[in-house]
Amino acid sequence: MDLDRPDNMMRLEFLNLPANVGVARNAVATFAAQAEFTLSDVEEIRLAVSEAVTNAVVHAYPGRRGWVRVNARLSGSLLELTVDDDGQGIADVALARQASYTTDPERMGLGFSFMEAFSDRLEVGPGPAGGTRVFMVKQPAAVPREEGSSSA
Amino acid sequence: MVSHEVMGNTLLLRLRGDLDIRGAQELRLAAENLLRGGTGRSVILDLTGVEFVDSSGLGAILGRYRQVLDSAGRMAVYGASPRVASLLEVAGITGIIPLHESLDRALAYVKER
Repeated sequence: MDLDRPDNMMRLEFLNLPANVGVARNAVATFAAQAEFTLSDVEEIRLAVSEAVTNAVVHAYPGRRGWVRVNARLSGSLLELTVDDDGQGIADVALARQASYTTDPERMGLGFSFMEAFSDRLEVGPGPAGGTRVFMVKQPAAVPREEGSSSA
Repeated sequence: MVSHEVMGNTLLLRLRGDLDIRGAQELRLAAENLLRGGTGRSVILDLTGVEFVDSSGLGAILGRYRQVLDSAGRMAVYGASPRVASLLEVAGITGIIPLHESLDRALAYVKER
């Protein structure tokens, strides 16, 4: 990350309860609305956050409670998001990221596909202290995406 | 979040709010309870009151489709906002569960068999 002057940052921590997925996506969407995102960008952010947090809620801590953390950082019009948990981790990230990969017939296996489709960058792997970290970047659709461009 | 109406052989489920992991659980439970009671063989989902759908919600919709197939019924959806409709389309769901503009159209579709 080359952004040393964030305009705003937000940190959320909550239990892995389904009700908190909505709390997280709505908080991040409200946070992101400070920047130059279009309504459609904000909807994509809402969806990407929902998918990442749902993954943590469903998979990180089988049969037990645990914490999920969301960090949001706004620098100019660039939004960086991390979703962290301290859970069991993903055994095979490449496999999990394949479209339609799922462990549950009631699920579509589209979580990572949606995160990828609705963000500008997606990284998935172990977190610095174990568990899983999902890192996403989102830029407003109108901002040129060349390296080093600045809209501030 | 989920209310229902029985119309002959058809179960109408009206959804409200966000169809995420939580809404998906409510939809699945409601449909399982109501269809187990022999309430109807076809299902119509009213998405008029739904503002947000993610992949959990899509999974729940597809899960109801499988359930309806098991009882040889049909399934239709109506009232999807443009945003929700485009997500259903991207996920390939509209290819198997058609979207309709109104309850009347959805009812006509599930009865045409």
